[in-house]
Amino acid sequence: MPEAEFELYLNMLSRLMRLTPEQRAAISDELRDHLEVRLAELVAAGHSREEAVRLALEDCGDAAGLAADFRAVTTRKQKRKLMVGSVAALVAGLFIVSAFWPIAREMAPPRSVAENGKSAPLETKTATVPVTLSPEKAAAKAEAVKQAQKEREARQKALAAKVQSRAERGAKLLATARPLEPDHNLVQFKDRLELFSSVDIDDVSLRDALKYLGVCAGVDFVFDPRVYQTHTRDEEFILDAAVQLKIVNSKVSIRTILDLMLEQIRAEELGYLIEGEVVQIVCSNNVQVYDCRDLLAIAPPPTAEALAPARGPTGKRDSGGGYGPVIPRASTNGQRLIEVIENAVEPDSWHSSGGNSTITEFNGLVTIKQSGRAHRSIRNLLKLLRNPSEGAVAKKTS
Amino acid sequence: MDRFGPDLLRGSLDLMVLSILAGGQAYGYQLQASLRDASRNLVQISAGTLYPLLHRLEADELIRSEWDESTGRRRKWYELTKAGRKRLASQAHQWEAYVACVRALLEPVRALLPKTI
Repeated sequence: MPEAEFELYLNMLSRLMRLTPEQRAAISDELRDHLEVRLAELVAAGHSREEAVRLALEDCGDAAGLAADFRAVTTRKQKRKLMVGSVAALVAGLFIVSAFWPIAREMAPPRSVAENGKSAPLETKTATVPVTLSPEKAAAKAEAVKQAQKEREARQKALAAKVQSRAERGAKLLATARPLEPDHNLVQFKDRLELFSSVDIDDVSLRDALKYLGVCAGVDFVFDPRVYQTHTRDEEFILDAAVQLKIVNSKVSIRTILDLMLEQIRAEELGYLIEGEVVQIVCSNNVQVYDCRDLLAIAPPPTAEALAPARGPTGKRDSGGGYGPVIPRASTNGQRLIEVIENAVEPDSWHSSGGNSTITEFNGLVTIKQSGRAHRSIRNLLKLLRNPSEGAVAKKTS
Repeated sequence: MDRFGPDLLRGSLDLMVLSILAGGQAYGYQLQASLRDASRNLVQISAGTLYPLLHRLEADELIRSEWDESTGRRRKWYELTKAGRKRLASQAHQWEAYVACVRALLEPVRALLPKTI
């Protein structure tokens, strides 16, 4: 006999799980079986039906947490498949490359053979070369390898030229740098990033752009060593990559300019930390603490709690499984804020979805370990949560 | 003695579930009950912990599942796979070594422990 409360719970759980309909139905069926047997047992033990329903649901825990746990399993499965697939592809690729490598190297020296005619046989080399290609194909292969070599050299030359002209523009830009305040020592370090400026940067390296910004704001930039070793997708070093920013009709904060510049260099983890009196550019997940005490002082509306079953006495989920660090579920309000952030910013990257970014709340301070890009999004999100009207599009009044 | 806390159980729940399944096929509720009974109420894991754990073990191909509708209700049964059996053996082995190690470390402290354990 289907119990209404169970269906309500399973329905909510189902909606919270972003899985295929079949997967959701399977989980619902499995849990429904469990709930019904448990209900029968509790009633037989003397509990009232109401009490038994409550206890049975309590055993399952809150739907949101449970949905997240199921989701994490699917992500794990997908990651595994992806990893297996890519490892297999890599191995296959290496295999193919290694099969051709010795032949390609043997091909390079006898240039006359390749140029005179594709049908010239390679008599001189048959002793040493493992003959797996016919002479025509071998010569063609040599040609292709040479071509690729030429193209690679040309690309590198072009890149060097690009970097050179970029450096020249950078030098020109630096010559125009002027401090925004007559004496930066009079401005507290943390306020220097909030100075306002317009900016007109066109195809300058990130390194030079940051130097320029540094002069304007009286700020020193340092780099995490990893930044020096990281490339953008175009295979340029991050610090050599181009920045293009033109904001001339108004003034924006240095912090905003910095965010926009880092966002351009498409390396998702690029971000910054304020370390004492310098700004460190980092290229990895980093931890930042957000003061959300103002946001969390508001009391939550009483509605949704009625549907979710009550938590156990400790207020924590029973997390005895081997899932890694136990992330304590915070106060209801803090938990709500965490959910908002997790859903709005990079949803798949969080620990609760199987990723390795974490978020916890303590006394209104939210500590988040995330990529630089995510931190930028979080900062913007919090700004909007504090001032919703700023983000609203102005309505036309007729 | 009170039931074991989550900190203590973390890391060994997989082993416990696999070992119950070594005894034969079982469905979720049955596993929960077996764990409780076999441990004399010391190991009580909630459904909210057990089911994601079972799904994870299945995703890792250590157990497999099949649906049974013969009783009129749709019930999911689990059993160990060959890989699951291997994992159980190696984890059990590791666990024994771990217990021996901790016991040895506790030797000097034993005199101070209360007698009623």
